[in-house]
Amino acid sequence: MTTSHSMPVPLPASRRRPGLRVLRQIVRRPAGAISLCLLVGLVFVAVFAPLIAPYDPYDQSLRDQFQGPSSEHWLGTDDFGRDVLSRLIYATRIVVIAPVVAVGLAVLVGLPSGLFAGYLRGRVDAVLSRIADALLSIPAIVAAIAIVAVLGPGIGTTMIAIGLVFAPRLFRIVRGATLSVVEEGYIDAAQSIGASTNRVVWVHCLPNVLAPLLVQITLMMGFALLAEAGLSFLGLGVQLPQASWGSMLKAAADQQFRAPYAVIPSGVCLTLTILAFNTLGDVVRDVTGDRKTS
Amino acid sequence: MTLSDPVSKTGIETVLSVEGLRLDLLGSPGQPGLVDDVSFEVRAGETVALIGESGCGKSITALAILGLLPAVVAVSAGTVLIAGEKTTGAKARRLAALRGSSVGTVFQDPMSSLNPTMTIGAQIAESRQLHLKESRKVATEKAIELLELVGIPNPRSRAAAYPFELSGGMQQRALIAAAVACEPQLLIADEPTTALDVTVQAEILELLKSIQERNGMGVLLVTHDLGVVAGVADRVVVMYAGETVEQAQTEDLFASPAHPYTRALLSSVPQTGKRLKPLPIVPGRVPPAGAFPQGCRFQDRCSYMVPSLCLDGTIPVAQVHPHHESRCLRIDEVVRSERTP
Amino acid sequence: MTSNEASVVPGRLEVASEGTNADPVFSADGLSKAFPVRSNTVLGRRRFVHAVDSVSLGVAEGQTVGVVGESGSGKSTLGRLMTKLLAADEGKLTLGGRDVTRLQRAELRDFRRGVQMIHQNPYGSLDPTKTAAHAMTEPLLVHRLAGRKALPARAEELAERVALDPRLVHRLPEQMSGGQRQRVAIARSLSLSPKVLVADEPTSALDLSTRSEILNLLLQLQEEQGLALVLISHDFATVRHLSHQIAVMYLGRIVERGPAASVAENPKHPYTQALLSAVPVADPIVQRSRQRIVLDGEIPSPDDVPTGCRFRTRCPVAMPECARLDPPVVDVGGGHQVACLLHEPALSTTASN
Repeated sequence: MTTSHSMPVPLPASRRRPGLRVLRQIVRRPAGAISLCLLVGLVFVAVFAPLIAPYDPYDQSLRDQFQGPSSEHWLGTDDFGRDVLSRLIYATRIVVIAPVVAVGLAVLVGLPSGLFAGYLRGRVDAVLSRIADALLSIPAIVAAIAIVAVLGPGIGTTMIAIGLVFAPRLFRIVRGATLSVVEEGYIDAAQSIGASTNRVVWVHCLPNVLAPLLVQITLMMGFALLAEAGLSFLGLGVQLPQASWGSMLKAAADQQFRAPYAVIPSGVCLTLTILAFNTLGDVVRDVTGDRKTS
Repeated sequence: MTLSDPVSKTGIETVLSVEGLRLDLLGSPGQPGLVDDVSFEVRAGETVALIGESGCGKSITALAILGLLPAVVAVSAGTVLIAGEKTTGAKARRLAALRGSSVGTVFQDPMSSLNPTMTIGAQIAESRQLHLKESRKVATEKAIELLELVGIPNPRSRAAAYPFELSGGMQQRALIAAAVACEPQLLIADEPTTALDVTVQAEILELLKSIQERNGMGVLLVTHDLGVVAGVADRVVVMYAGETVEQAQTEDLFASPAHPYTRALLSSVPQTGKRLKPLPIVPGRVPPAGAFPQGCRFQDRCSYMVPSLCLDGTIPVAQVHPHHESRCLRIDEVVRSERTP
Repeated sequence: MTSNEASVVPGRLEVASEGTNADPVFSADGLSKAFPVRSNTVLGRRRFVHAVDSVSLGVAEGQTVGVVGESGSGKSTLGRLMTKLLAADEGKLTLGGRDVTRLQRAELRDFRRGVQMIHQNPYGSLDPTKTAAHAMTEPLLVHRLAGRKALPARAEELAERVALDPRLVHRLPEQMSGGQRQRVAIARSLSLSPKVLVADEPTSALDLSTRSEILNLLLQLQEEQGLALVLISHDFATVRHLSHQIAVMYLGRIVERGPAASVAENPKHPYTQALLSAVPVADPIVQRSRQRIVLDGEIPSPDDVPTGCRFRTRCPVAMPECARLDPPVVDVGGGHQVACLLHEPALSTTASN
């Protein structure tokens, strides 16, 4: 009627997927670019650990214990004379896998339950919310220790424990976001075209709760890493001779009077990585928040 | 450039004078202004309607008058005089002192304009305490009087109520009471009835009229509703794409619009006798700020456009007759053509 | 229905097939919906807001029924009931002669193909994460009327039908203007080729010039496809422009209805008269000479409706009987019906006795 129907012209940047746009906006900010680089770098290190590590991380040499940094051992050796750099490098595998598995488990449990509780409300919501409340009333670390105590120590059970502790928190966030999304007209519209509950939830609710979810997932990754380190420090997580930054920190701390320097490498790695996760979480929040208001 | 005669000639005080106002988005040099060459006046006791569609610059103009521009927009030319005092370039403190005392404001959404944690009475009393230095007791008594004035039943008990306890219409009345608490010379009402039902709208408009008759304030009514304009405005200023395109007495404007945009706007109102027939439409839409064309800003939607005339330079405001002006080079053709195209 | 058998059902207006010379393709009969409200007292009776109270409405093919009301009138709830976004407590819905009040899941899908809705706010009714093409063709996908490969072509077709530039179909809602979004929303409703379109304030969020474009589009689509349109709006001018029949709602009831011209030019119910007198006319000479009918007070809370006639608390011509009697529906001729005791012939005789 008013618009011209001329021949199609190439579309502006708008055609690109919103996910990509968020990523671009993250990278455009220095804080986002740096933390993302660091985390991608970690994945790279984890994948190519055998190629990068100068020594076998499990190779003990009791004669060489507690050596300082040298041209042979850049970061020195630990209490069993193992190369610290190599152990740090191999430990990135835990750093990369543990939070992903733990948060993945939390998402697997918390996301669908949160979406359906928020969308269906009523009895489903009441039951799920009460369960979540009950779980949340137990302090996180106590709950995690209890779960590990029941399932037995080990990196696998640690991840399960952390995932289960995070699940109700994620549930609450997803449910809250869904409750507000459900009020939007497009949910009504989706129902009135005859879309099934499953479709409305997964196709229309999910993408619109993704922004707060993404922020939370990023932050949880950091927490998960910290929790893994904490549990490993307590001896409940990674079992010897496997290395994790947490267990290395523990080993170094035990010997801090003989080699005060030994806590630094694993401590710095841990701090930087958690900082990167948290910074990334903040940037994601800013970026997605901007998108909503503009 | 403005229509009205100087103060001395008419003997009526000019409470608001906007002269050649230009607003620019900071950090976009060389671009056409968000608002450019806007000039109009509001005299005491007079209601001037500022009309136009969304994106025409009417609300930002109102904010500029109030000194409440967002940080990214600045006045780059022109002056605003409120009750004879120059406010463009005035200090923030002086502007704050003027708001609430010389200038009252009423916004579209009463619920978000009222503080939900303060009682109605306290909010009305606040501006008297602030500007007239009245004690709380005196100001609260005055607030109750004001609530009665704006037609709120049981004013004493309502003064102690919180905003959420009042209906939308009552909230808007309370907001008006707060706006006129210090007997301002100028009231700026930005879409004051858009969020209200028509029966309530009629009441609120009548209320504004009766307050105006009492205290002789000038009212600048920002609206997009031509029915409201027809009912209450003495004069009309039409804005399009950041410019004033036409100004006239209300009757004059409705009877013989002299700008193609005004003409199109008037004819797009559903009218009796033309039921079930397509309405005339203005093709295209308002160009977004920053993409205003050279020459006439209405050119690509205008049925009177002549390429040799309308596409270059700036189009000056021209007199149709002494109290009617239009920013169009083909006024004669526009006025001569039939009322509805 | 003729006037002498008009007042058979007190407080309820019959299906408005009169004056249209056609049977309604879609009709609601005695629809009611009450929402529970939380009361402050612990042991207090559970209270209900009767948002819609035994409302009947019908619309014929190619016709428009306009529903006018102010906030609190229940008009939007009525729209949601008629599109089955909400389940009615009572009443019956009939589509094409079939009772569609209670439906199984599969039947509900069929119903959705027949009855579509246009929502009020084009800024809220489109999923911000989906492109226009996705929004317009999703119904086809949901109802398995087109394969994924056919969707881009269908999206362009639909865009053409609502005069939306086909180049815009890959845009997200935030990259479109209000009018463009509303076109997308209309195209989405039309994609299933429904018989009935329920439009809840389709233009109130739009600018004046865009508004007329959308109204013209609705008119044109109705003409082309014989759509039955239920137009819900607070704006009398819009309703008047598009409707063949007009129904006026107040506090959950239809108080007056009839052929559009008759209701608009010769309103019988005091509320309709007051409402019409408050609608501003965009003509200064006419507008300034008009006399507004002033209503007392405000619309009562819907959880505490007055006895008898619901409008009596604000009615300028209320009588003592109005508190006692639920006004029956009277046909004042030509299918123009009003629920007001003033127009009840039996009452004038009882009153004089």
